[in-house]
Amino acid sequence: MRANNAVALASLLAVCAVLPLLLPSNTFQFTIVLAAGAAGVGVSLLLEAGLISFGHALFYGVGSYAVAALAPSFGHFGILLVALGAAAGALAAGIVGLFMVRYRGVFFAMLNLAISMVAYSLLLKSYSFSGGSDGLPVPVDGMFGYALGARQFGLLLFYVCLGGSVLFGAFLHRYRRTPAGWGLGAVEDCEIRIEYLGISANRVLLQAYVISGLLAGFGGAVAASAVGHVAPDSFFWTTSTTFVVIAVLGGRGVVGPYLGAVVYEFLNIGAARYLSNSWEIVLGVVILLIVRFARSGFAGLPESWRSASLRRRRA
Amino acid sequence: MNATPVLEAEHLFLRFGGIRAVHDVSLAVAEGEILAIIGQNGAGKSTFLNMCTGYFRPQGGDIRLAGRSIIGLKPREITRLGVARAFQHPQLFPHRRVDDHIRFAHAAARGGFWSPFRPLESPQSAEEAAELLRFFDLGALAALPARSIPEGARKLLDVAMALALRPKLILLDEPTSGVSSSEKLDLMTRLVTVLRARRVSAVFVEHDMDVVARFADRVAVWVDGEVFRLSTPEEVLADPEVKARVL
Amino acid sequence: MFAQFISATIDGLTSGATLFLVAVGLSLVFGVLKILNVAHGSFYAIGAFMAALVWTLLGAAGLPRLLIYPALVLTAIAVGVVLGPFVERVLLHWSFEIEPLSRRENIQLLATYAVFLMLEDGQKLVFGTQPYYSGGALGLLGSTRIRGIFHTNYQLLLIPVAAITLVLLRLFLARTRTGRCLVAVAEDAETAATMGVRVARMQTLTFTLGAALAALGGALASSATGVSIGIGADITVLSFAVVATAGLGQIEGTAVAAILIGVAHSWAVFFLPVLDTIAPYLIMLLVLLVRPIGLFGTDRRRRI
Repeated sequence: MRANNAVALASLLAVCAVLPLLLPSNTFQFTIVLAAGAAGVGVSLLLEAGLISFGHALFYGVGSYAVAALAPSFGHFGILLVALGAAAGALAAGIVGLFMVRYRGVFFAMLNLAISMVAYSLLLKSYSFSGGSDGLPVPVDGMFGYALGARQFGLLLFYVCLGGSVLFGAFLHRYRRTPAGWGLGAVEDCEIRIEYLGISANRVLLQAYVISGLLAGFGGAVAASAVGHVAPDSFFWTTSTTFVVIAVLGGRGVVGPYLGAVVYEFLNIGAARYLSNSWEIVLGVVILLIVRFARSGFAGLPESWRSASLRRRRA
Repeated sequence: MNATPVLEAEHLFLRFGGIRAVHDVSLAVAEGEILAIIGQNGAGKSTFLNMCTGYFRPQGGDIRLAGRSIIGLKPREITRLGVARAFQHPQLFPHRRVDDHIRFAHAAARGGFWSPFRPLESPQSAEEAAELLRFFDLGALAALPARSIPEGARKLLDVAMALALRPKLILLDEPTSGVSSSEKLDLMTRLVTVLRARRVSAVFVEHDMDVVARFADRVAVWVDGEVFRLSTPEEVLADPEVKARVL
Repeated sequence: MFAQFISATIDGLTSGATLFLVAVGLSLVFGVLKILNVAHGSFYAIGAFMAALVWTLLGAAGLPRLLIYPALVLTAIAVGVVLGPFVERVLLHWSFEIEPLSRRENIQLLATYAVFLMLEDGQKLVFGTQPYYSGGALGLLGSTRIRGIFHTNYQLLLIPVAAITLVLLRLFLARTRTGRCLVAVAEDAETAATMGVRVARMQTLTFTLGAALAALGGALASSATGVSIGIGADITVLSFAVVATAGLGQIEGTAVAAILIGVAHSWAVFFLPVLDTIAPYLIMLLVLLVRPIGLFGTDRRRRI
């Protein structure tokens, strides 16, 4: 079983790596999808503890704006900018998380939303600091210290994002087997037991919250570098809910949200072309169906098919 | 032999509205001692346990753990001082493996819990898990998710997790309730063997007098929030007044 | 300066009035069904659109303009009665069986978000994306001069309307049989069921009531604030801020919080415009930092 998973993962990775070479004009799109997937992984991590964040655009936006702020000085060092953007996301999550992890369920979801919208409002109004609704340019044109052509930079950025995603994936895989990572899923099941083992459930959640902020910040930093521009819209609640949808569509685990991001992108394109007036209705129906029937998202489908066929074989 | 009692309650008071749950209760549990608490439902026994874990704060009096007052501390902090709790309804993680439960508890007690790089599986945790699973005869169930194991096993797992913390004192709320009478003796024998082997003190609330008679060093009789009698099982169970009020 | 302060306070009270209507609906739904309806704001928006539509229809049919006032109330009730049971029974009912509670909460959060998306597009399809004129009801009753500044009587009347609604709600919950059943279900649905209460029916009723209240808030507020796409989402977050500040399931507390937030927002608009849109959230965050369950919230602890 595990060997199968490893093979599947490796082939998926190989396909991803080759994609921008086969379809070079879509590289930008691929990068944006990967960035959204990374943020989705962050949201998905919190979902494991039973927490839905409707405000992760905050950390995505922090990552974006960190890149925008530092790009004028470090425009040739894209790799550094992306790393700093991720770190900024983690730092913001650390600060917000101190307050946020006291809450569960509905409060957690909506408080995250409220804080991200406060950030949105502040950025919108502070023209001198953040460029207001116009946003800021992101003059990044090199990855490792020297300027590159636009096409080359775009390609390299994609691979940096892919590489980062793989690194994070490996880290998360290991993290889930540490006591704190194992405990994350247990918080939803039985928080009392965790407290009575002498462990602060809030601290377990804080650790996960910071990691999720890191991931969202990474996604935002990559996206900002790809687009070349940031705007307060990155903080808007629609961005946050997109990440939630991606996480739900794709399911748990490290790969799921990326699948979710791909599916979401397809739905987006399809809807724009065929159903421009009813895009949200379609999305709403899809979410409702998934939440009703396929609790573990698309990534969980193979598992449920497997167990269903096992049941049939036994019967 | 250490003279400081592992747990000392002194003139504890707690009322809920008009009900006196705990009224001027004083008792001490010596190191390695097993104390049973008996009494009718609603007499305040579970409330007393909950005060010892920090869930309720007494309105008067003091509780000391190895000489140190624990009033006002949170349950998490009191646990770290060496008090473990097993619940009447086992508090488990339904989708997780049985052996992982014990590994997790073990990790909670030792250092390095928070490192994002140290795995749950380690030689020490494996050893602890194997030992406790063997003590409680749960070895065959080790790989199963907690929701799939029988009720008696669930209670044992709850207790095993508490023991994996290597506490000085363990508090048990009706450890044999929900367990069939044939299994009760087995459960308590295993439990007490581990307690004695590790010199862990225990306070347990119990309704089964047979269990009390066999396994308790001393018995505290709870009537209307007060400790009515505190003595050996033989004396307590033979006392006609106790029989009238409780049995 | 003082006149401006009075004026801002009055504005705050009037916006707090409609905010109360929406927020109390959300709070009721949460109290009885234990569900935070992310689509609650959609009912508000639909109420607002319908109000504008009714105004246009009244004009087209040549009916007396003053009929708009009863029409607003009737429209809100209609929105509640038509959409409430449909959304609750058809789209959400399956989720009430899910255990444990935390998983159910999250699934319902996602499900109601899906409903929000559907209603949002539904609004666009039904009402189109062109702006509607909704200010008709605002000017019909004249205005009053307070400390030199004019306020429309319509807006001033919103305050007693909200107050009356509060009193009616309290009487309903405390004195009528149905109301007491609702309270019983909010306290403990299982016990209520064993005592013969038709829990499912109470749930649908509460959801409908909540939707109607939100629609009423939208219909009444739209005369002053206008109708556009996107007001549904704004009001959902805002009414959540009110409910969170008050404490979940508190009726009178919601009124206090609505006033607090309405007035704070109003003062900010006048005196500290940079904070105006975020003032409600700052209040909410301040309150929650000090008292995580809200000003009047009750702590429900598990007995172990």
